[in-house]
Amino acid sequence: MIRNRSVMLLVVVAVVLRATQHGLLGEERERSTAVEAQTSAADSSDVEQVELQRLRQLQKLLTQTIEGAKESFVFIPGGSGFIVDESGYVLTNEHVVAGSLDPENTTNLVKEVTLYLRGGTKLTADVVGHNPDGDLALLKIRKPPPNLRALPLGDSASTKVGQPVIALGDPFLVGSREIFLVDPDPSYEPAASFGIVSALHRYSEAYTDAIQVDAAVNPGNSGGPLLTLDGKVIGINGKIENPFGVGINHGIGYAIPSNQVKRFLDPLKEANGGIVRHGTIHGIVVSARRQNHVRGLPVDKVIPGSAADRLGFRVGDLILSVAGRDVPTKNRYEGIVAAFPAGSEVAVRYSREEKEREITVTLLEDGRAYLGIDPAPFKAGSDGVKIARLLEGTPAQKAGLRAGDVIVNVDGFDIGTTKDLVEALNARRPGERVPFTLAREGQPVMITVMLGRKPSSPPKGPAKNE
Amino acid sequence: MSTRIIRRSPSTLPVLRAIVALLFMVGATSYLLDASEPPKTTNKPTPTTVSALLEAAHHSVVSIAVEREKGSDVELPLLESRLRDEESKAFFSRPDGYVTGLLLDSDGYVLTSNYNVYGKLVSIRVTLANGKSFGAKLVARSVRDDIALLKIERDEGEAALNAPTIRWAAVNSVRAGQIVFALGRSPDPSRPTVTKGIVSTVKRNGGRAVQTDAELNYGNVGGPLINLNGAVVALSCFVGHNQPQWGVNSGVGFGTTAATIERLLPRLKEGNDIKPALLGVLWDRKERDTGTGIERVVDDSPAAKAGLRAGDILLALDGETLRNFDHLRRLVLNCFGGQKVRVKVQRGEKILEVEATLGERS
Repeated sequence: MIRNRSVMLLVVVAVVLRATQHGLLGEERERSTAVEAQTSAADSSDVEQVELQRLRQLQKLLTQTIEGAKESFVFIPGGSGFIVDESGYVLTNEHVVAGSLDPENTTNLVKEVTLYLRGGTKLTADVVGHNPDGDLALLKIRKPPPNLRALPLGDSASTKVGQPVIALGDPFLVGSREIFLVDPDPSYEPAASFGIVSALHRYSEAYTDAIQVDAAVNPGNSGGPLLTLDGKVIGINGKIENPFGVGINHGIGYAIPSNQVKRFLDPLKEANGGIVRHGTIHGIVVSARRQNHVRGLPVDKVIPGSAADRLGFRVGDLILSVAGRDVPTKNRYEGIVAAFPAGSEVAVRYSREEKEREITVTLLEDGRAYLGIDPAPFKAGSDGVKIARLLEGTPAQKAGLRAGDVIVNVDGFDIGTTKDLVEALNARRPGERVPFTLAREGQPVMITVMLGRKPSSPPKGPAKNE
Repeated sequence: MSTRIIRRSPSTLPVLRAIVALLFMVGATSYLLDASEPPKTTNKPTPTTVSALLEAAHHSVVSIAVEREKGSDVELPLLESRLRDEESKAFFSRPDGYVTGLLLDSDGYVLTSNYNVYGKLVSIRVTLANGKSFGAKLVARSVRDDIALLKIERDEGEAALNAPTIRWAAVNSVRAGQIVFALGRSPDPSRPTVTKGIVSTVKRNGGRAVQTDAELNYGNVGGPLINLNGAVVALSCFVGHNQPQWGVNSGVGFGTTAATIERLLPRLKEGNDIKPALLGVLWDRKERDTGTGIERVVDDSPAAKAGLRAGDILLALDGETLRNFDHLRRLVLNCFGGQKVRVKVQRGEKILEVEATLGERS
């Protein structure tokens, strides 16, 4: 599967490289056409004659944009970031902050990082929000110096394949580390590389709706901005295709699109150091791809009792669009859905029996729902699941369940054994509010529980000192 | 000297050019300056297409064949230093084939990357753009700048080289975002190569190098990075990974700047390898708002010879105000052995200025 994807991407790159070679031979079609759009110095009659002039115009834009954007750049040990708000908010990748990407880690979150502005001013920042599912992290500089300059987030929906882009970053940490032979002097100058948008809506692990670029992006670029020629951030660089395991740029870099970043910005600001999760339309399984001559992506399975089931989805429904965007394949469907934070409302358009319908779906946090009880051992003839012990701080305890309560019904489903309870919970997602019926000292009690997310087990070894 | 003067009075052109050429030869601050505007100083028509611009610049790009003692070019990276078997070592040796250099002048001086001439050399052969081929000798190198100076050897009475004049980018004209072309002449002397990129940033390797995303690989490295005016911005050198070393190009490459080359060239031409400089003072470990105090002066060091003493507070080096000892150390390291520097010193109530001839670090 991975091999297939790499091969496909290599083909794409071959096409892009051919275009670049044209540029080298003096036919500056691709890039100069974009400059033309920027400067409206239109002359399509004889592009080759005016190429040098075009390149000078392009160069002017490049130098101006890079000079301006550098001021908003921050060096974070291991990677890059940029100021997104003059009050001191900084965006970067979660894997830059945490050292690696581990969505299961909910207990050992990095709380603060050291960062450096251009020129080497050292600052401390708190991590105000983690988004490990989408590789984003939001930082807040503790004592922001005056005159911080923010980079504006652009509209990634208007990005076009072939559009010129600038990647700003600290590849191989050349600017922030003492790597040269003699001079132990980090310059704290970010580096810019130039390329084009190779493709849009790429799906690669946590990068589910990525912008693919051929601008050189290397380890250390992570968290840095991908800029348009007019200096707007249309993506955050964070991942490269690594088919031969060399770990350096091959002309395939992935960036998180700015519109996805915008959707996470407010939840991240309010996360209070916690995690912002991605959402799913829970309980729906779609086909791998659309059939020929069929307009929508077929729903293959609807899990009984799931959110999708309750919303009325049926097997055979054809999904036409999610959040207004076309979904020709399962990857695209999942990629779009995963570009929203849990709790978002998205419009899903589908057709059933030739009739089109649209409903609004609240995306639920991915992962298995968690209640947080220790059930008593099963006794033959008993009806329901008796709670032997409640764990501190769990959803069950927060909702007011007690040790000794017997769970007899969950949202209309009778609970006979622990297996019934596990099934009922498996059909649910973290964040869902579910009514429980309990038998407490013989009396029925109704309690609504907001299900949580199962915490990862505490680390076995001593906590790593990051 | 500005282009404004040149444009106003075309008749002064030959004189100005002669002065410039003379200054260039004696190694003063004198390269043909590349103004931000396209060149107007030549009789030849200004290139209007990229290919014409590149063709003109390629006249100065030469092909170099290096023969060396087998295995002497194996330069093992730190992590692989324990490798013993020949196959693994061979991975780190230079491939066979022509590499690239830049013909500086009609005296036959050629600059290239030190990487290209690493090892125990048996012979060097330089092929010019016009196809003529000459033997050459290594004159001197700067390992930390990854540059080497070669000189073509000609018999007496042999025709003059007639090297094309190289335009050098003005020191302060280089900016991140400027478009550059990396020129090469490989895999054989008849085939010029070019890769395109931008200047990624200007302050690398202690300010002596620029970073570029133009593809630099074995073969084209050692050639010039030229800008849209056809002027040389830098000589391509290291390719960066986790340390500046060699490997597949990643879009992170470096070029030793025209300004650095200008500074080093006179000393290289004298046959002196460039080594980081040494002053010979030890810090008194006292934090100050400005300047740095001296606890001890090393015996017989350049500092001692210049008359510096324990208790002196160094205030400035070559006019640059010293912030702290680290700053002094960086400035000294950025100089080379044999270079003269002016040191402003506070001794008691007195402020004095001394000249020191810096030594070399081994």
